[in-house]
Amino acid sequence: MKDQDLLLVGDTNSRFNAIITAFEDRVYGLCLSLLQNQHDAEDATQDIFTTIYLKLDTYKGEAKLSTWIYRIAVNKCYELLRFKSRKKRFSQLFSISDEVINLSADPAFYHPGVQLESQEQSDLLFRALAQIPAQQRLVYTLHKVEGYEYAFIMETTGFSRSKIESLIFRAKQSLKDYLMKNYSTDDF
Amino acid sequence: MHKKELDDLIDNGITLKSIQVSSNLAQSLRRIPVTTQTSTVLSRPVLLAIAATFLALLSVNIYVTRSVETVKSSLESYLDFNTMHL
Repeated sequence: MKDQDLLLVGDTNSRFNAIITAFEDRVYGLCLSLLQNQHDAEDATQDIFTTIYLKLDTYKGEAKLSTWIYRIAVNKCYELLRFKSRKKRFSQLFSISDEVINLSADPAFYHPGVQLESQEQSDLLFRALAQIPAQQRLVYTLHKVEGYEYAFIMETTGFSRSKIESLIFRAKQSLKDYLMKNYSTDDF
Repeated sequence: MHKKELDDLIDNGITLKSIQVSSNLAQSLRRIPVTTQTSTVLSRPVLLAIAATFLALLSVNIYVTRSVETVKSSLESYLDFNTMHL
């Protein structure tokens, strides 16, 4: 069944149920990759589908249904990432001790989609992603973890192609700095 | 981990296999139409009731304040009148 066909069947509730069945796993997976916390991802998924339900009758089909849904999901996750990084900055600013409180990632985070053979690399990458700015994290995760093409990222985030390229370049630099500093066994 | 391995990891990212939502989350997503409609239906009468109560209390307050002032001024006039004629 094509995405758009989901909107042709029955009343609002049955269309919404069809959308849940088609998109719940993918939206939850996206939230989990971006937020790196199971509870946050579940709450975000719940919020995203509530928004979809409330806006379903206003969707006129200008964009593909999947693009429309992912746009809502990406905006929600980005909003949460920005909120978390503000909270982190605030806690660092007012921290009495020098210890940095990391609010943006669950230290015991485990992504169930990670393949067993790449577990170690995935852990490192997720740990490093938790340290970089929200926009870089968002775009890098969409492209290099979730595997979306630039065109799709442009549609869902509203960023231009050059901005996405620049954010990915800067994300790679930030990740490299963090990983080389903390996990490289080579001497410089 | 060696520099080359880290570079490869950053350049290539990782590949995730598809995952499934938990049964709890799946159930709560399917309850969204019910919970959203209930909250919308409930919130309107509740808001109206709150507004009506507020207006009623405000009217009572104004009425009581005015009544007290009227009684007070009547008493003052009565006392002034009696004091003058004592």
